[in-house]
Amino acid sequence: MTPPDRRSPPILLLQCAAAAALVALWAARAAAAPSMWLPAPLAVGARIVKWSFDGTFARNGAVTVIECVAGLVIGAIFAVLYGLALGYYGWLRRAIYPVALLCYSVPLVALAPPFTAVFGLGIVSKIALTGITAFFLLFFNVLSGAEAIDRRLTAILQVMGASDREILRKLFLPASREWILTGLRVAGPFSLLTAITAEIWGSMAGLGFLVKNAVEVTDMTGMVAVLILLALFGVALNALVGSLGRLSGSGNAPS
Amino acid sequence: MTVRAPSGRAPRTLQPWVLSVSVVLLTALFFQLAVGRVLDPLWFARPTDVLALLAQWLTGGFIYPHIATTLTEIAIGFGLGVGVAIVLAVVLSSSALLARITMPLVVAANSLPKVALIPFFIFTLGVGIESKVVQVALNVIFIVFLNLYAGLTTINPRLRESLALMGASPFEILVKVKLPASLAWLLSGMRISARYALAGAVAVELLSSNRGLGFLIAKATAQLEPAQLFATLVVLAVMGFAITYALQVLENRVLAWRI
Repeated sequence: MTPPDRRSPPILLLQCAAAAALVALWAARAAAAPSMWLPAPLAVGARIVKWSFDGTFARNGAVTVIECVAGLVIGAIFAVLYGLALGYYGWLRRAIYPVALLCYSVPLVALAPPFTAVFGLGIVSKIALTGITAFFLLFFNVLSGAEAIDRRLTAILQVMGASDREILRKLFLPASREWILTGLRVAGPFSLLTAITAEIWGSMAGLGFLVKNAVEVTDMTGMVAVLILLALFGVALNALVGSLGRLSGSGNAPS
Repeated sequence: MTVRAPSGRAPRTLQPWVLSVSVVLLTALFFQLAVGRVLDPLWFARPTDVLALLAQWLTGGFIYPHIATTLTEIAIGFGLGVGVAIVLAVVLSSSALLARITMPLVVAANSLPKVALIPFFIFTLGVGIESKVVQVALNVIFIVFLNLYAGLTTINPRLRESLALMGASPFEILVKVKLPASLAWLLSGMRISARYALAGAVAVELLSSNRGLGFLIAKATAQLEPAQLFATLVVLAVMGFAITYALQVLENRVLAWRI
């Protein structure tokens, strides 16, 4: 929620006016020169309402959400495992880190075709792809967080007779929650991007599938309707991961 | 045998690269032995085959036009995107009112996953270089804009005020204070967006093209040629690393005066 004093009414009014002016411009342009390339705002609105009620958005949106969330969860689990191991054991980090960096240099969307070929057109190939993307983004976050943990804390725990396992579980694991939550700010939108790319490449459902399908039958009204939904989706996702990061606070921040 | 001096390097610490190289070699050895036994040769290639193919590509010249195509798309799209982002950031940062009115629109536009526009671009701009350039530019604009905007709006207002007091015109203030002060923000925005630029170019190439590294990936997958697939992935990894590294070097060079 934005604090009420930040946005005085005139600004909000001007913002609404600007948005209304854009839509009016769009409507005027579409009315003056009707073409299949520029669907009228009313037609797009009607399509959004239609697809909202006949379940098209719900069905395909659910598929994309599942792909993103499952990928993020799987990616986060492996990111914590590997990130903590590498952050704790220096020799492991020196061995693996350059290799991980090189693997991370590959644009992971390039894996969409092979993953689709191996795992099929369903959601498994998309979850694999969003999972591997989320893993890399979160892994580097967890690793840099684990490296930043005050070494005196580990030393104290060692003096107190804690084993490696106990130090990892009592010190590193609780702290990693925050690194994951802040890492989600980048990994969340990126997993949505990856899922949609894979859906466009080859799929049977999802918002990317819906966009591709609309373009293939030159249904520009449908395409713009899905794009507007996707933008709203993105705004909601950004707000969600932003609030997650803020919720975690700095209570268990390292150092 | 000479007695090791106590100040000498401890014999048990290995050089870091020895560990990394052995990890790579062990992984390669695993795949060399496993492909054909445990792993399906339809999807996985032996590292020796991949290396042989890479050597053949590099000596035979097959790969260079594809690298050049992808690099051209990225270079043009990147330049375009950074240019538009600079103009947008300078305009919006010059007026607080304008910024507050338009910022929600920019944020909403940024929230749209740009890849969803790929089918539209391919449909309207064709299989040529144009659809890739536009996608790369779109991927770059918002990241660079938001970074540069943050830089431009956090400049110490006293710097600006004292120059204005000395009679500097708004343009002089822009060139002498605002842009140099926010150069670090611009460069880091460029470095971050490079990853998205490469991803955007490859994504469009996958879906529709007749040359470029993304095209090679799609072709290798369709023809079940895992050696080609992995060789292209290696080329992409080197390319992605090189672009990020080059921008990092540029950043360090340009910002060397700040220390």
